[in-house]
Amino acid sequence: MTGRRLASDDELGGRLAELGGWIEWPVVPDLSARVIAAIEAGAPQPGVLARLSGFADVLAGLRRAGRRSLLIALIALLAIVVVAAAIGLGVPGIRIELRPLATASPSAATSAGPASGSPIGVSTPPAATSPGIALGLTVTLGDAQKLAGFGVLVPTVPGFGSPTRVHLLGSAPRARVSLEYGDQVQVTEFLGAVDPEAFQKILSAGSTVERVNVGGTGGYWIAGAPHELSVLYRNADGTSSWEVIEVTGNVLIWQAGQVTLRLQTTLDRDVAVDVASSAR
Amino acid sequence: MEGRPLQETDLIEQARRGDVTAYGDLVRRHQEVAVRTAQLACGDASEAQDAVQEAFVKAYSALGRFRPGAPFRPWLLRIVVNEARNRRRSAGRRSGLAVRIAEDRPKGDAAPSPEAAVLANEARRELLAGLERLSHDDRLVIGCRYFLELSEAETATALGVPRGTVKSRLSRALGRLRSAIQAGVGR
Repeated sequence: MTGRRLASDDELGGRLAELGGWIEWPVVPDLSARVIAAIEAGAPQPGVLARLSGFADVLAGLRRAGRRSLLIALIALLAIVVVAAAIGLGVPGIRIELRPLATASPSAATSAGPASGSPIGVSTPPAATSPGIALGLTVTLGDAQKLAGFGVLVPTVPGFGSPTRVHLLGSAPRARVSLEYGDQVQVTEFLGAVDPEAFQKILSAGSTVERVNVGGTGGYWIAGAPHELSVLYRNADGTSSWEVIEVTGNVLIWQAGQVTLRLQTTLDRDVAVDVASSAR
Repeated sequence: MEGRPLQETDLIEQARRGDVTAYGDLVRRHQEVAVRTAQLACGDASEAQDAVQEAFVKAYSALGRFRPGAPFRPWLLRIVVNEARNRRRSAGRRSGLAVRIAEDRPKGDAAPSPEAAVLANEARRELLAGLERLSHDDRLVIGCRYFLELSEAETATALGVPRGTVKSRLSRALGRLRSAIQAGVGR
């Protein structure tokens, strides 16, 4: 080749294309989990606007409408924004709950947690749930049962008693019901499923995941230092959503039929599994 | 079980509505060409992955401005190129092409004679050396067209220039490459 004249752009282009086939590109790992985690960690949502029923479409419609229609539409849009803000701007049906982290965790001192085979001990448990969290409307258990669109499961383990407070967020089929038992246990339920692979991939450092048996079905016990837990939910309507939860206690996630339940608690693993298994 | 894979337009629409799982599928579909593009734009293989990750996050945020029905790949690559360029600038270095020629022949290539293989390999290295002597912009436009096999229109969108500029910039870049190779040969 040396000394050979390069006749034309076409010839040179041909050589470059051939060279392209020989380039040793680095192997690209799957970036999707990292990208999604970064998005969930705080990047603006695309679609705060896009999700609000197609903001661009609304604006286009507004341009065509008269002033009165414009005013009505703006009021409607403002109402949507207020509602969206109230539920945390999450994907419909799934709300991103932001919880202040406590300074200590029930399992922080034993962050190896279940890996050691021993249950998580709780000596001086901090609150698993923070006061003042926007979990939706405070309702009676009966109302939650009527409005949730699914059979709300309630722990029936002897001595556990009734929930001290019941919350309902959203409406069927994307309603979410939260049952609080003092400051030690919170059970959140909704229609949908969990993608365990996804949440294990981006679990915070210092946290551990353990498969457990909850009433004959598989569940996941997540423990460790105060952590941010990202969970991919398969919603009942076929869509998927991520939820990022900052957790100061331990978390048990399991599924009962079409309903996914998440128990946040300061209780140790075995007790939490007993409580979960008794949910009827 | 899940049915046939979703079309890209469906994934984009779902992602625009906040479905990050659909967006994850888009990431997987385009991450390879995105990383290669970033590598050409910033001249650093390791920096390229970080740039692409950031670019995907930015693209997600910008999905509300994506015009439905428009080609997604060049739109994404423009964000990738911008991110990679910014990193290159902030690093304040003159980057090289940062690619290597494989020792093994690409799949499907017939085995040449040993002599022909040596000559062809030498020719490739000569070409690569010529590319290294070009400016960053020249290498980028050549890389987009011949290494990434982007169309002129895609290259124009990815680089943020009019299509005519791609044509003229490419023509000038090839001319300079020709000169660079001949200068290298003459040494």
